[in-house]
Amino acid sequence: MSTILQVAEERRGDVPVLFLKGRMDATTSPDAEAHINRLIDKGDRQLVVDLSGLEYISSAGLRVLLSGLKRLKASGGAMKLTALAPEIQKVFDIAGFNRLFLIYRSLDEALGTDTAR
Amino acid sequence: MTGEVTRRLTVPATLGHLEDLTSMVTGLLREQGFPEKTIFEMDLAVDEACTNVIRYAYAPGEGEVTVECTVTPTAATVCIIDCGHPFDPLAVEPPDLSGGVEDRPIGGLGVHLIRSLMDTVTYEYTGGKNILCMTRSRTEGLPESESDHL
Repeated sequence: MSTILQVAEERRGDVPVLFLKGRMDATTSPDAEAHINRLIDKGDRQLVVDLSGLEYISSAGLRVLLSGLKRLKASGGAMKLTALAPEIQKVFDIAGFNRLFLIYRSLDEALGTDTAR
Repeated sequence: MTGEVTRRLTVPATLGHLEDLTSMVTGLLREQGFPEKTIFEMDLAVDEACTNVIRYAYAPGEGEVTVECTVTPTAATVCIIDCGHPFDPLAVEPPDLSGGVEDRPIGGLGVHLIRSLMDTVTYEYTGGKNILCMTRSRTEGLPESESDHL
């Protein structure tokens, strides 16, 4: 089982996609936070985060996603999350995050959807 | 499996040791044949409890944290013990999950996750130690609609 977090970044058209793979806890989440903040600092307002490789998330990881979402929303942007494993989805449900984030089943679905709202 | 197995680990309360603590628990549960779903939830509860100790128990000083995991044929109990400032996490108000993105505070979810995922959680401060114990049954009970047919 992975005990690190791998963060990869890729552009699909104008939209940056961040792939988070492994474990998002208090030790590893700062890496993801730095990536998200860098994209927002550079001016990106639409961000897709692919969680298909995410095996684990704690409240430290949730915090990083929420603070990124807050920054994006404050400037009229949006963050989309894709492909949550059932265990990750359960953590989102308990935290009430399913009501805060746009969550898609797959990356294609997230990229093919209008972000105007 | 018969009887009880207990494993204990004491390390400096730093983030660098967080994984040692969670791996000790998940390793034991895996050896004892717990379902992966239960292991995930126990992992998360131990992570949240230990992260709180690491961040706040001794601030601004240093100290140690002990994790003790006891497995029985039906359940696992993990106790997190520190000698830091007395702090009862169960006295923390549950977070308000109803607000929108702007209203949601950053943080405050760790204890909520622990309470939601564990069957029982107890706290006591005794002998200068914070002792938080969390118990989770090996498997979840079946939904009532299914158990009716058994």
